Amino acid sequence: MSAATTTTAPIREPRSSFSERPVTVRSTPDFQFLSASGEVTVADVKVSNITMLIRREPLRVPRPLTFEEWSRLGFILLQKWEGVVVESDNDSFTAKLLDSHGKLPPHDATFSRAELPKSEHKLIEPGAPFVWTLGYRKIGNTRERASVVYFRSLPPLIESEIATAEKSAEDLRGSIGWK
Amino acid sequence: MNPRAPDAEEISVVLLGSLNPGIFHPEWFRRQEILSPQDAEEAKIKIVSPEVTEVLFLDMKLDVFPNRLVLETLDASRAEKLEDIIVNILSKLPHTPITACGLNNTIQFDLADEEYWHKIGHTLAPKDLIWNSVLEKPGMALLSVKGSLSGKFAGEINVNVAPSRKFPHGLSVSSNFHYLVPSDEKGTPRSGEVPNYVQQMWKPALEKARAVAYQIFEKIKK
Repeated sequence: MSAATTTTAPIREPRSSFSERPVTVRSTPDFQFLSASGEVTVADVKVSNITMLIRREPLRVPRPLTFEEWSRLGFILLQKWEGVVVESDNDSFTAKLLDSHGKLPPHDATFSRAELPKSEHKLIEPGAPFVWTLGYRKIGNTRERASVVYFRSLPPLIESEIATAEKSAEDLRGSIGWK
Repeated sequence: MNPRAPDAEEISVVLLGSLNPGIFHPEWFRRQEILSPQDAEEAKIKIVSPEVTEVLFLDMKLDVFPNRLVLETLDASRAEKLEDIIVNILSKLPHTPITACGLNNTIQFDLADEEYWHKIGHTLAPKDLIWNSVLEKPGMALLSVKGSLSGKFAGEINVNVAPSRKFPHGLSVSSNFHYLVPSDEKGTPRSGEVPNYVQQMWKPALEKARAVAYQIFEKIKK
């Protein structure tokens, strides 16, 4: 399959590797049309002063590859908890925690608000979902223990989603036979 | 209990469709409240243009082309952050036609044991039947296996097992949950399904590569 139809992750080369392997880049056409088969038709007005359609492959040029240059740090994930805030005060918040991999029993835990940046303090309220990951932060060839807490920021449910959830709850209640 | 944690991990989401790279500026993310003002301020812009956008924020890399959007991170602690950003992008652009969505996870293990490394390769891709007679020192470079994904979000799961590019005697296992967005009677992709797909399949997608790796370690002992 071509890259136009696959959704696999980008392929990387090792850090600091300089490769002559070409990468595909696009020109800057004035217009381009993508057919269902992935073929690109380019109308390049500015280079030729004509508007005749031309067909051409994307340019392929060599360049140095710089793996991970954009990522400061890696993370070795050891444990992930999915939390929901139960109550909070000015200094801390208490939460129910579920093991993301379903292997450990649920826990209650209390977190200091200082675990979060100030900009996220407004998100701490009963019912708010968050993620707590534990692992090693990789810094070059060294590792340090890391605990990362952040709140989820999903868009609010829309009416149709609420209606669907209510219908599911209704169906479930009906199937159990509760009154 | 799982035998070991991966020594490196990459998570990415790939969206195919008809996209406008020029809008994916950190300021747009701030205005849409997808990024906090501070995170938007700290974002690094390599390029934002109608043809291609490459922006870095929150230790994530966003690449957008007219037919492809890729958001990726090498920081596994930010997996759900990445999920939230994708869901928020999709919810802010409900009329953008998305034709396919891939949830990708690549994990790498530094085996640090050449003999065991070869044993895994020879077990997954036996050399006696074919390869020893036609190649000198045949070695497994890539094993790619495809499975189907049934249920509400029917699609396919692609799993690749390969030598690690990062560790000399390491193992890389990657999974791709590929969802081809269904179209309505007019042939328009039902892009509204994609956020639900991302949210419902996120956990299974992130667990698949681990499940494959642990199965390999379980079945192929040192």
